[in-house]
Amino acid sequence: MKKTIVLLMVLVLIASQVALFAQGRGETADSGKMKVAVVLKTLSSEYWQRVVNGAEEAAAKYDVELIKLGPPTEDAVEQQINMVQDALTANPGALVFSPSQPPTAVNVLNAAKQQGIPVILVDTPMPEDFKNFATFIGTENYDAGKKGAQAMVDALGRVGRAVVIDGAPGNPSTTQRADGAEDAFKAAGFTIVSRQPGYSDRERAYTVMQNILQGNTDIDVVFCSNDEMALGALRALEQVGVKAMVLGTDGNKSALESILADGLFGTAAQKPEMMGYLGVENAIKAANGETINIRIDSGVDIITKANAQAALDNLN
Amino acid sequence: MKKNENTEIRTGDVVQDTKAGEVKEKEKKVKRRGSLGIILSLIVLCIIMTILSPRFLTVANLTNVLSQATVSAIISVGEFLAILTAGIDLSIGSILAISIMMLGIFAVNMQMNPILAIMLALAVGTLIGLFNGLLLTKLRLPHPFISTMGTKMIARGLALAVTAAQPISGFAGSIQFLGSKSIGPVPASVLVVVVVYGIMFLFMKRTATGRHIYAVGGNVEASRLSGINVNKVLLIVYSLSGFFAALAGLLLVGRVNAAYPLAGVDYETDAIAGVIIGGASFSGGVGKIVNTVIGVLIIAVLRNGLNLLNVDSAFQTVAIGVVIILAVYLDVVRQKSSVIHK
Repeated sequence: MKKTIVLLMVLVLIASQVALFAQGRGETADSGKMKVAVVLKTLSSEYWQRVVNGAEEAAAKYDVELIKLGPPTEDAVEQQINMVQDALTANPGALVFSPSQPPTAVNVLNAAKQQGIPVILVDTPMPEDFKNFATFIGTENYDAGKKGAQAMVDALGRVGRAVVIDGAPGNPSTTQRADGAEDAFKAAGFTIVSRQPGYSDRERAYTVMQNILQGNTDIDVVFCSNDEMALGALRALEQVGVKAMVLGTDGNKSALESILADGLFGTAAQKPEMMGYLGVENAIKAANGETINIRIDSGVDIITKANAQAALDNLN
Repeated sequence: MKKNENTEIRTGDVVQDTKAGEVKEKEKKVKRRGSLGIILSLIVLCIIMTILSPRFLTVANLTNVLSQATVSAIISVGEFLAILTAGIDLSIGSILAISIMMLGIFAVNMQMNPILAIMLALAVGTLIGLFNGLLLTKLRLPHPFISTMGTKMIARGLALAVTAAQPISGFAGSIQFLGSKSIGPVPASVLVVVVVYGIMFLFMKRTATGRHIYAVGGNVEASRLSGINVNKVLLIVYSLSGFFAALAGLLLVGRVNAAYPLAGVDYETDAIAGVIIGGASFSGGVGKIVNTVIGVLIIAVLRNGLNLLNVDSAFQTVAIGVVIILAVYLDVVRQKSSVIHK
């Protein structure tokens, strides 16, 4: 009996401490600085880590304290909403937020409004009829897709056959990129061989590309809504020896390295650091009651072999 | 000759009954022990969190934790029942998704009466649960791990297909009520959990069906021989599991004001974790419904506390994994000690 109880207590103690020790820190004492909460779709991917880096740079510059949260995967939607709730209990000056499934965040963002906490959306906007936010900072996703696809159209120099690999169904940013690419291809007279979801995941896109190649090896260009998927698709193409241009979106380090090694053709690079940086910068302005623009474009760079090295140096 | 046989069987029955009685006594002791331990763990965890974060022990935060745990608490009831029969239900997260997508179609797209839409959505969940039960009892698929895994994929696919993966928002206030409103200071969803667990507690304790569920989990053959309709019990268990998944979905829709097809991904894992941390045995027949909600709360407090402490979610997942393994280890220790005492 006693043994069991003691064991159980130890169990809980260990578990809660494991996390803290692993992280190497506990609660920092209240520093009296302004707090800015940053809740992202996840923190465990290169892209979102770059948003965090930008946020941290701005936090250091303006001397504010960051509360950074994000679920382990992008589809843990309810957990993300819980994290926003938990972040709001800290009563931050402003919230920088990227909704995994925008409609699900309406209630919790209204709660933020009631608490008087301004909301800065980054990367992904809320549904059109939602007005309780200060600004949206992000890439024009449709434009990014269009510019990326256009770069391949120009490089190919003739009419060709295209594949479009989309993100998770229902994810607006990846869908808009795929829409932009599809429109650019169609405008150039290209045939769309297939458009399928790759769930923003390298392995899933690899499988999708393999399946497409089963029926069709006559492919000239492949557009992917993110870099991870582009690398997956590239691998499938290389395995069957099909030479097609593959372009991703995001501008991640692994994509840049692949471009330099003659793998990917290019990437429509978003500027996640810029989103994080502008996010925190504008969060501070909003918290201080300054007026800010309702839409801030964080920009896009088309990166191919010509400028990949510079982009990579910039990352490091 | 005939007479002799009869007497023999009767004597056999008596012997079995006494044995069953002994086992029951032993199990009761085991259960009581587990109960105290698990509640103490929750309290200790809360004390630790209070020390580490000044924001933990505030009314606002505790209300958050409770409302955050409600969806998981309701969906775990079905998982508890399945595990109690030595089975498992891997489809509940997907059943939740298809149920709320149908709720969205009924209530928002078709503008049905809210109460009717809710009833239909609950019926969808229950029917898919019944389907799980039929796979097990009629098609005689070998283990619910396989049949419910199949259902999980079917239901998830359908949830994505019904609206071509688009989320549905704009639910009427009456549908969002249970998941988003409060009655006085208490969130309505918390009251739903209290009522559901109250009813299920009485159901398990006071009804023949409730006791039969324990019996089937303890020993299928013995239950069958003692005249329990095992198939009926399994059908009820998996139907209830589907029903509670849909009910959890109703709370989720209120919480997030939307139905989205990727809702409930991996919720079965959290539910299994809650049930196991709550001391139910994976080999069936042992477990208390009330401990399940404590198990769920332990996970919720752990997540909330680590959020307050600004800990990376990757390590939150590690922490919950550690708790599960230790909780199952305790189950092993308990079983060993009860065998030794025999």
